[in-house]
Amino acid sequence: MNWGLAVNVYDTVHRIVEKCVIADQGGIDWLWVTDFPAVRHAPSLAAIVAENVKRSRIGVGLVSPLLYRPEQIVQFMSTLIDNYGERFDLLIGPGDRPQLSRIGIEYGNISMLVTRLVSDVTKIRDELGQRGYDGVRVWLGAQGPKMIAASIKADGVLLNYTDPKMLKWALSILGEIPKGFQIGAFPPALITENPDCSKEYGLRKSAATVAMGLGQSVVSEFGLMDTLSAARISLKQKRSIDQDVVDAIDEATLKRFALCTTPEGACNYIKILEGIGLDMVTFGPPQGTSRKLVKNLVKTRVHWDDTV
Amino acid sequence: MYRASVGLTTNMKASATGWVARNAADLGADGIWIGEDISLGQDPFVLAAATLLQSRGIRVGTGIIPIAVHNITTLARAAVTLQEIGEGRFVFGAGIGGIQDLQRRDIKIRRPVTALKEGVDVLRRLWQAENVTRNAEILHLQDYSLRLRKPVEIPVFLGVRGPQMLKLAGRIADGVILSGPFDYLRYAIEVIDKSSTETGRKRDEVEKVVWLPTIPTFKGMKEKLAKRVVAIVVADMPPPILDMLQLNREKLERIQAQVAANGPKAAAPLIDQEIMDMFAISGNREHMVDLFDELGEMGATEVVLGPPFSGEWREAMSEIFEEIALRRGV
Repeated sequence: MNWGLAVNVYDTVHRIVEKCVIADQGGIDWLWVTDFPAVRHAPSLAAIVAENVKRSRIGVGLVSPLLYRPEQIVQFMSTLIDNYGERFDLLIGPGDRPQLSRIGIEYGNISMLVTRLVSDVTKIRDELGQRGYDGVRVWLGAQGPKMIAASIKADGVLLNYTDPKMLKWALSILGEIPKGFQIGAFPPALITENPDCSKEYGLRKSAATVAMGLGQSVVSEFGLMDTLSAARISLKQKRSIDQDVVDAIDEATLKRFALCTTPEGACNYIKILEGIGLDMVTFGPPQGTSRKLVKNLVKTRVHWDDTV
Repeated sequence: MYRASVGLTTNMKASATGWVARNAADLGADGIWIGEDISLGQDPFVLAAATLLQSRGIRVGTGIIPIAVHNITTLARAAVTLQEIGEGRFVFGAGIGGIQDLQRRDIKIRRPVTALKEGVDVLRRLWQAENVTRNAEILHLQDYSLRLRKPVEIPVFLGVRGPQMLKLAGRIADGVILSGPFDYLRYAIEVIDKSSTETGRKRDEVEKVVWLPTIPTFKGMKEKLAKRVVAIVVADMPPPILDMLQLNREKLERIQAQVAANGPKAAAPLIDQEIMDMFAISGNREHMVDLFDELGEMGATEVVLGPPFSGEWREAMSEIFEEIALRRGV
């Protein structure tokens, strides 16, 4: 099982690099440098991360092709490789709809979104391949059934779920997995010795963001229609996820969309995911937001290596 | 005395840009400018990041990034990231972009001067840690901020050409990046100085960076290649600028027609020394630095060497910087 960590939310470059170095030295396999709505620019940040880390692979993304044209994405990936070697992967996804809307970018015809994204992923892979950058793995971030099914056209999928039941459902949609195709989970995570999950607003907000991004069919599939309806109404009014939206979701539901546990609990969780056929877990925010939490993840990794 | 820098473009190989970044300070360069050849070669922001990381102590700027080709928030985020990577050495050079490049991307800008002014204003407000809501021709923001804990100072240099753009730069820019024949540059610097003093700024408050093709013919670069480069520059020159020149207009039009019909190679024999000296910095090291000195006397605060890079360009660059240092009395 590969371990990943998502960095770059609202930190300075200096702090992001510090945390990446801790994660790299602590055996974390993948460092995912997120782009918008993060406030630093992921491709530029990936350059300084590459300059400072030795072992970890560096993932650029999530990057939205609604924000960057495929040729721009190919350009920054190839520039990173030309300057720092074959150490980079790419995660593509549509991006957060309300956040994109605030900067003048709309999803457009929603029924065409998956087709458009798959076409962009294909273009990016083909172009990178033609230029000889064969080592880049292009992942697709997926949550809805259409996107999950379409992700088979990429080199891997990062599933935006935490709950093993939901992940199993996603795997059932993928069907037969092509050779070499990688499957990862991307849970909002807080791994610490004494977690008080109900008080961790950062974690609850990340969980709520995932829950609010669910499509109608997924909400129905998991019987979440009633439990999420108040939060959905609140989000429609406020246009962004704030405390009121988060509070409108009950704790039991939020728990299904985030990992809040001790290092031992995290190892047990990873074992479960390994058992159902996943290749990677990337720990999402807030795990990457402080040095202390990154060190906790490193300790968890050591615990995993010692016990498994 | 003017500053002297090295110019790179995104269409150069990483081995060449890396060499310049690693050696620029030792050569005596005061900075590195990176021009974006849209969609060609390296990504301008990643190249700027790598250049900042590989260089020591010198200023690194984009020269220029076409503002309408990227989402304004990408520009804002990239500039903050680069300023942090460079620990204060980054300069954001922007412009509206070439009309043909924009047309190829289906980007139409009705009011380019206003668009550039609004773009710069929004970027500065975002860097000042403000929340911005703005609907303009090339940007749409609703309650957007960079969530900065404190403002970030990023100098803005504008790549401009026409009279209205030059006046705008004089009013709002920290610096300008100019290119064109010598007679035009004299005019442009006058317009910028006048505009800046009319706005209550000091005459020398706006830095003037002059970036012309530099073609050292003393280290293996063939004169034919130099002439081809100049033919392209002449072909791209808008008529109002040609009107300003003390050159035979018919001769220039013949070059333009030849480039359009048969390409720059066919037009190269029409380029004489007078045209070479008007549109490029070329020749041996002494002659090239004479021309830099002339630009300095004209009011340029910084001159940029290259590209094109050809022949033994590393040695040529080294010798030119030696000559500049000699004249500075270093």
